[in-house]
Amino acid sequence: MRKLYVHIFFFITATNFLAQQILLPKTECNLSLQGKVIDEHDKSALELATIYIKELNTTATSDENGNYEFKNICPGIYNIKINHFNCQPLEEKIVLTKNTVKNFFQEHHANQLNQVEVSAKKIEEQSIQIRNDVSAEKLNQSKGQSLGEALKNITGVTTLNTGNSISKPIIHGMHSNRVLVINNGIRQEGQQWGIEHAPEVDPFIANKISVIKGANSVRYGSDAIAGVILVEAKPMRDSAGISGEVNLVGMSNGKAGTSSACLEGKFNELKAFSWRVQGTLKQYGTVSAPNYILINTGSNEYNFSYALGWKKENYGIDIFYSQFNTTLGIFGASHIGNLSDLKNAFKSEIPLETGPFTYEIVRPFQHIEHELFKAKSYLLTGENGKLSLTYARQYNLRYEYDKHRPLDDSLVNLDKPDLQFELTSHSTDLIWEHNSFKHFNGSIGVSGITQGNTYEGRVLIPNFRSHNGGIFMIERWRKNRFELEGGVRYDYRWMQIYKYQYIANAIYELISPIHKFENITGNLGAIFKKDSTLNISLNFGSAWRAPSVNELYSNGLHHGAAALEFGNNKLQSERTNNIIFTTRYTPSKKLMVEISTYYHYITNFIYRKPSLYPIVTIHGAFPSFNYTQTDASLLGCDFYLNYKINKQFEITSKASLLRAWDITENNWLMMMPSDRYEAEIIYRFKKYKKINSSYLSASTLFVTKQWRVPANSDFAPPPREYFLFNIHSSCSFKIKNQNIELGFSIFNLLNQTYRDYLDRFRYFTDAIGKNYVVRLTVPLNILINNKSIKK
Amino acid sequence: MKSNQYKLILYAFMLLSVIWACKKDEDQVKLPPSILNSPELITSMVLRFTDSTNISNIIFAEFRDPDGRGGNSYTKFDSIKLSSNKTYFLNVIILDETKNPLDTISKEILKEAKDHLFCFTPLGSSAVVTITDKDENNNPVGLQSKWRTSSAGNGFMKIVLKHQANGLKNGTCSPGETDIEVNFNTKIQ
Repeated sequence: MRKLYVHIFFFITATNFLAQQILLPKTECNLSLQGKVIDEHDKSALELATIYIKELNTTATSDENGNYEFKNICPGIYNIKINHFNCQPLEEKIVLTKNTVKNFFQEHHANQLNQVEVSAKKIEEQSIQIRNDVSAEKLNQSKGQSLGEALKNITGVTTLNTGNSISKPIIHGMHSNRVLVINNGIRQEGQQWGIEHAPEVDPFIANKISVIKGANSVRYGSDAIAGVILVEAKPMRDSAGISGEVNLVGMSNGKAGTSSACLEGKFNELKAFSWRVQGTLKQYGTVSAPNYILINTGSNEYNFSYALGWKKENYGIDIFYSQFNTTLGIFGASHIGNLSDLKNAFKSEIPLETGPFTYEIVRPFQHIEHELFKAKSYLLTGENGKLSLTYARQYNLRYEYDKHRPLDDSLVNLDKPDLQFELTSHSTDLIWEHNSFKHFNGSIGVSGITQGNTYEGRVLIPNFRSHNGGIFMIERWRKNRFELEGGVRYDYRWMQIYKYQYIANAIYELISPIHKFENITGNLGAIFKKDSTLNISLNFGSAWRAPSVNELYSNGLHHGAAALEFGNNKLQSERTNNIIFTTRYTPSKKLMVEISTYYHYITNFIYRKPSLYPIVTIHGAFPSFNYTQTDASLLGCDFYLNYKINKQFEITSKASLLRAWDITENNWLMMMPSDRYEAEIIYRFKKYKKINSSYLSASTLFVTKQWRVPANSDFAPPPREYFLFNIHSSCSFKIKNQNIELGFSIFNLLNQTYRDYLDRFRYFTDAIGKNYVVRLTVPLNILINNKSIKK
Repeated sequence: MKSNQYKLILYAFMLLSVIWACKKDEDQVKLPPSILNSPELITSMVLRFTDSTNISNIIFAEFRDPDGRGGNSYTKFDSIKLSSNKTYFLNVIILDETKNPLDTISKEILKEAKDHLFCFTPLGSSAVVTITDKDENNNPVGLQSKWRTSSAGNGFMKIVLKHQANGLKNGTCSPGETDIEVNFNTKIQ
């Protein structure tokens, strides 16, 4: 928290100087404007520059010392254009209220006249794989919820939940370490291995969330087996002014409130510089299932971020810092002592513990902090490309408190978490992207990450230090209707473990083994575009993932799961070879169909295999699981259809199917999403007076029962299929030129009682019931732009 | 204010951001904390029976699981061997043997007696158990009990320690979560 204040303080001091300049107007017509025209780079005076005031249609020319002067001007706002033969023209807006001295800094580019054209050429995005975005409308509807909930709107993406507040995205049946989250261009490095560890990202940072499905190790490095989630912030403001946005969300279930605000700007005086500051506060109380309250399910969150940009036409620097802090109550009745407790919990119709509504969070709970600092700089390398260098530091802290406080009072007073992990990562990427050259464009890059993990409290995963390095190259060829892309990457990973190994009789020995992994991956894709109506793409990708530290070394009781988990330090890297065939057909503006079929062949697929006998400890018997490897095949299909019947009515339909097979064991794979079907009908209202873009939609989701599971491998059989109905509506209206957006949704309209196979709380409780959500978005377009006044 | 002053502030700020962000990292991963400092463990349950007719006749039965919840199985699991149709007094002793000197957890349990309950479930030839100690709310605790053994034969006695905090304790075994659960073999001779 202290750090947060320090960052806010820095930000305020930096921006205050600039903001202080705003004063109130006076009216007299005898003002003067004078100053110097100076070379931006070597600070030399520029002679013979012309200074032109648009509004007054007058010019002045700078003398040999760069000085210029205008006299007898009325107060007002003026657009001024400065020209020099060797420079790019410079335009600035000036608010004149008194005699002013104004120096203009011009970019002086002797013999570099091509610069403008070069920077105007957009460098193509470096992937041929089809990207699916969460639409702006759906992103709005999911405001106030977690990142996982927002991602569910993409076909083929589901979530692995631990109740209401912890939601991990699943792409094509795979989750945790197999899904990469790229937050603002940086690989999110948290404790992803845990199934109750959700990505530590504030969705309000993003103005775009998208998913690239399929293996994609070449561009993003190891672990991108299932796909990549891209969380992107809005580009920085490119014109002078200050603007912002306030979001307020209220929810009935959990009596939850979320507020998020963002303010960004750019100053007339400093064209290259832009800034943004953003923060979110969330408070949830205990949520309810249709028939009872789920005790201790409250949570709170406070997030803060700022971004600074310095952009010139051939180089730039971006700085981004964000902080994510949350405290999550864990549903009390889900935290059980041993197998007997678990069996009692299953038998019970309603959870064994229930209680009144409260905002208070008690044991068991988690507290998580995540910090990201990023500095990115780029340089245009002449006409042919762009070189970018990115450094990022991430710090992830996770506290887990057991239900049970220690018996010893001296330990109680320390109030130490029972499990604590601290993960610090530093990463650097150097990438050179080149522009079209004989139908080719592409990129080449190197990247490195170094990480250190330490724990305190109970042992679950050991301390480790790891170093990773990678080098890659991607080339893309485009001619007429065809595009081809190929990429290759080499990675090396080194990891040293520090751990106390149990010998016998309460004796432990410190061991520090070293693991090394290396891999070559490749990618080959082709797109055929017949015309704008048909787009067929075929992509072969391969990706790999080194076994994560929990798979290698976890040893002990996973309390929330009432299971003993044993890692295996002999595990090999797993690798997928994946093919995705996507057809996007848009015969008219009314219809859009996308069908995507995929097949993953995964060798050495790592999973938790239940062992036959429970292990007896002093706490009773526990089921035990061993991490093992198998060969697996995942075959599936995602379908999306959007049809605009007329200007008012629109229907959307989605389906995602998956068959996951364990080839070695000749059986189904556990923990895979069942088939899902969704349909939505939207009615868009005509514009009425000041109210526009209003709509009302009704949607239904049908999730089938997951019967494709190996027999006797789970504590309880998969729950039955369910239907859910949701209603969404939204409208925007103008008040004083501000476009205010008001949205309203009802989730689980019929207050259905259901349990989802991929919710870990399904063993203990029904999922949450009806939830009314109100959302309000107020943009702030304030200050400066034409209205503000300068000294 | 002049443009270069802005720049100066800006650069200073960026530099400070970088320094601040990097400041607290340790580049070396520490060795893990000694296992002896780990949060408290429960490793052993010792049953101390006193013959009601002869107090110098003391019988022990012990369950030892030296890594507690660590996931390795027990190293000692005695049967309870008692004479038939007799009365014994039982003291339950719970220990953390990883600490030096060893930590008697049962003292802590006694301190928090109102949040804890031992439950005894016999099966086959075993004993009828009557809890003799009470907590501040006059609910049974179970650190001390009276055992009336059955006729000769083999059976089981399941001993469970329930943690019933936050006012859950009502004298029955259903509420709360299990701290300890050991199902002893009984040999009544």
